Amino acid sequence: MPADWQLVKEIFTQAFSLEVEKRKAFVEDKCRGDPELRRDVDELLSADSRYADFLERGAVPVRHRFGVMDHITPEIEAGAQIDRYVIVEKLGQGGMGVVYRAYDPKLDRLVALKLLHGSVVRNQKGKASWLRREAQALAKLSHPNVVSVFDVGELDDRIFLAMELVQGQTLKAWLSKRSKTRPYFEIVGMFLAAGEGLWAAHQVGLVHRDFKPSNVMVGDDGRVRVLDFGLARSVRELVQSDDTQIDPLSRNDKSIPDTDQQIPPRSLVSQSFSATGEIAGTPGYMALEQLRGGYVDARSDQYSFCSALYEALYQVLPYEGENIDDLIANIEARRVQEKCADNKIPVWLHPVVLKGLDPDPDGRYLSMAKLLTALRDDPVRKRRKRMAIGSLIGLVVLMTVFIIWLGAIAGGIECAAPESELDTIWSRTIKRDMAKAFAASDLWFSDDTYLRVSGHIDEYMSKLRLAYVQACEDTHKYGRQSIQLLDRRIICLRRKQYQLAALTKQLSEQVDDRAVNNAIKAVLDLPDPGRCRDVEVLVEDTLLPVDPTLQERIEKLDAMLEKVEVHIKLGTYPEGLQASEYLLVQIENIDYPPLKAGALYLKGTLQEKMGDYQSAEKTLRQAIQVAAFCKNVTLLTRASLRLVWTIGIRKRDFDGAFEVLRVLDEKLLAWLHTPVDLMADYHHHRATLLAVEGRFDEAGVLFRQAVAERRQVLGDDHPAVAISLNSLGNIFSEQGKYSQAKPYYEQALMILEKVLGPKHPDVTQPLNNLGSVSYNLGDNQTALRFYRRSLKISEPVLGSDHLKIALPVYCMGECFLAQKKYKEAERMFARALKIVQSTLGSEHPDSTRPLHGLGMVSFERKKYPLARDLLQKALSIREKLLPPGHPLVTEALSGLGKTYLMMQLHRKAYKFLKRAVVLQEKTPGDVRKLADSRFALAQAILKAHGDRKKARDLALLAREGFESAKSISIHDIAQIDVWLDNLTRETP
Amino acid sequence: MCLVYDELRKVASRLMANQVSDHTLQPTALVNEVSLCLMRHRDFTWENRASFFSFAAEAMRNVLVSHARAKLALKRGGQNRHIPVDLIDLPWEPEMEPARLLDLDSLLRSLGEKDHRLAKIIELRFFLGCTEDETAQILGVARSTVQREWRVGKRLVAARVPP
Repeated sequence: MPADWQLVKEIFTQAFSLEVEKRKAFVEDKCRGDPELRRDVDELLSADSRYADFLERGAVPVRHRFGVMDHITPEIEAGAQIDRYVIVEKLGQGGMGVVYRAYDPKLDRLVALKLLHGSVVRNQKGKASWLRREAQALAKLSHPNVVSVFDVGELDDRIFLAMELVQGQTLKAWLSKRSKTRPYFEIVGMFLAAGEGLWAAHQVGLVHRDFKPSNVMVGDDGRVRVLDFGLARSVRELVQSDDTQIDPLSRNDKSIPDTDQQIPPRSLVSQSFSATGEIAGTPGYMALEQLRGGYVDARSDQYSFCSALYEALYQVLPYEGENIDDLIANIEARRVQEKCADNKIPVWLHPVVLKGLDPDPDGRYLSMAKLLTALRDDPVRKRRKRMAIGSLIGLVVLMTVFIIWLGAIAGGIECAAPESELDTIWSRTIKRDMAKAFAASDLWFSDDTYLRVSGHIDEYMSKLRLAYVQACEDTHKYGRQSIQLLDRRIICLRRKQYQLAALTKQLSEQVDDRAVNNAIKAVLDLPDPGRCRDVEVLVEDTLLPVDPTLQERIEKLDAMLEKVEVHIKLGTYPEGLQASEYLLVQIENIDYPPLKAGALYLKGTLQEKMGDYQSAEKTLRQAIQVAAFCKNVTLLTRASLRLVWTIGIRKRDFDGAFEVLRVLDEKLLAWLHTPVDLMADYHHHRATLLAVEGRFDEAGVLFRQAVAERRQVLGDDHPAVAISLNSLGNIFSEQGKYSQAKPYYEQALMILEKVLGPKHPDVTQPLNNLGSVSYNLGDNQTALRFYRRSLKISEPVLGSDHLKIALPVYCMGECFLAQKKYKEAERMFARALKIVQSTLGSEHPDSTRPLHGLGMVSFERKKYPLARDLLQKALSIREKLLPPGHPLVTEALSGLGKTYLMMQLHRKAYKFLKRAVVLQEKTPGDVRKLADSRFALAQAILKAHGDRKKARDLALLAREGFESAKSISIHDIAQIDVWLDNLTRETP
Repeated sequence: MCLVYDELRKVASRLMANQVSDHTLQPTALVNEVSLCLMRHRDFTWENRASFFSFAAEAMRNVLVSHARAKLALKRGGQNRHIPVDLIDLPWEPEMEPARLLDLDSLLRSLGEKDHRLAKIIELRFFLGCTEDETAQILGVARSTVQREWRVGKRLVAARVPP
């Protein structure tokens, strides 16, 4: 880049604003005496920007930016203007027109804009104004159960209506959900509300003429609203008038043309006659007088209303027919279709609805009001003094989450959790099956684990219940939150519910050892339902697309996603991987990126857990890409963290890991309100990476932060807190600061014993660490106690040959060695060596530990040649695999040097000890080990070179080292003092 | 107060523009929620959102660059241990030659040191596919500024990252 880029840019911009022929002179003048500047400006001026056109197209094909958009093709593009309304998007399409979501800038609100089909009204000049009049009358009607019409207007030859925008679903969609299990009073409640809307319209002389469930909206706010009043007639009559020139206001027109040919017989009742057909309306819901094309009034609406209610209650329409004539004949003969037998509809309802379905309008109720009164007169519920107006909250896909009870007396709203659904998740059967499944496990701590797991699930259930109620109350009781936010909150809670359901199901069906091991952690790791209160979390969460069939599939896949997550938590990785692969294939079919990002993340995680780091890296990078596209910061962060772990910790590619972390900058995450638990993960991961790189101070700070954050979110007693504490202890151990490490291990142990139970295998980790710390602090007796406790837990589960047993066994050997109990030490080292060699092979670096131990035992027993062979073998394996400064290498160098010293091979001893000391000085570690090597080197120098001063200085350094050690080693210091005394005495 | 509300509206319409899949999100409703949120998180500012889009763009750039590196390595038959060679299928393949993408990346790197804003503009527009308006909103600068800078940026890229 040019040295003074800003200047280059400035001159270029100025030159560019000039006419082409003046540019050269201008630049020449500006860059006088600076040929480099001149060249840089010229480079820009002469560049052909067409070569950079690719930048405008974006890095990846734009059509992929929004996967879901592919399913929607707007007829009028977003941003177009109709009258003063700005189109936002298309909401749907019906027989009579297209509905858009539009913005009204004048009143700063969103409206539903219904644009009637052009073909309907074409060439209807003069007639259109009639439709306008009708709509204007409707505009004057204001009733809570009628969709408000704000405005009517014309666009070219088309008529549009600006209406209240209702967030919700049609009554038809509402009815199709749980149609078999929905209680009758919920259905009646919905119709009662719609009926009120009809009655209000009737009172001002308006007739609907096409009442049916798809013309009723159930708002997310629970309010029921009837829409499309009068449009059926208007449109129909306009069309007819085109053919017959009948005055549209004439009510006695014989308006039904010969319909038999147009209507395919089989779809008769569900066929909605569209704008291109001859009548608008749906024959199955039409009254006899309407089908005959006779006089239509409010009582015809009553018939349609009852017809729809009948269908809703009994799953069949009251009258059927192969064609219109057939249908008319059946109605005239009152041949009512049999209701479904397995129905729990009370008998009293049947005659009430049938009266409204009388073929003779005079036989029906006098008015909608009378009908509604009859419907309200529920002898069962009257006794309970409660009238239910069932309503549904949430997105189309949500089914009934809450039932809001409008108490007939109190009139207040009572919020409740979806008890029946929650009950199935944690039913008596599930509990019993789970107890059985756990009891069947061979692990001796499984009973204890079961009790803990079920206790935690109880707790979680009550949290979830409370969260549901609070979500509802925040909207309906306190008015603190909008319906839209409630939707998102409910979706969020449902996801938690799915995950719990997947977990309880899994635990009640099949529990193997892996699952028993991880069950407690899995339950504790269930996401806190309280987080669904967080606006930031909700706003970020991507909502479902509008297409209802797509929604349903996505919700199903969402539930599958939770199942995969449960597999991860329970440690059943191969099953999880299989499920995730299946899931991804399913997602591929619908092309819904938000879900894909989640599935890829889980798949990558599973691959990492199963040790396939190469594939994991690939999958996680894919996940990151998709998550970035979906702008899902949580997922992006999670996937990035997992990637950091995979390439940094697993593949030891620190540069690559830090490259990812560079993007995932801490400040940025804080800005983005990244949830605390994720921040904790971020800090923990970053700290681990720094620790592996030897940057202990920085790592320590971050681990502390992770501990604090995890405590804040998860509480004091959570395994994740213990893990961070344990890691914090490791930081100090690694630096030889054992007494500082100890309290962290103790806390970790306490937490794990409390949460997982004292017999749980995970408890062995802090136990082993405490053993190691005690050993290093010189307290071998205590160390041995910890190791024995650890072995007592893991030996019965893992068997005595398991690799995990090798560590405490080896460490016990070290303790015995320090206690000069060589026989026991030898036994332990030999046993550890056997385990490691049989599982990992004799060349594995881990086999060198017991090898080295055996060497040191021989050394102490003064069997120097044997010691030399063993130590040499350990050293050569270590040098092959580890960096030169590694403590294991220097330890072996030092041991070997000391052996040669004892064998009187002073030059050889000097060679090894010198290397040991140089390396140990370079990489600070255990001071005692350095002091030990230094003292040995001092002796070798004296013997090999006779350099008394150098030897003396080194010995003094060693003495200082022993003195500065946390546990002062009197024995070692005394040894040096004796040696120094001798040295002084021998001085000539 | 007016100013804050206005800013929040921008946030909302910005979200609308980018979450086209999210059909139930209304700007006005969102503004209310965000105001609520503002009461709880006092530090919720425009900057947060801007940071996020920058972050997303940078993440995208990272993925595409690693991908290009892997592809190139594969082509050369190289066995660079830092690059997993099987990293060659992304859900959304970049349309650009891997080598050219890497050239662009290194140009952006050095440009970023001299002219952070211009580098960001190119990053947002190219890697995240933001429009001029969106970029201006995210960076909190006038549209004309973005246009002016973009002109320079395109010429620089045309000169330094030829096809």
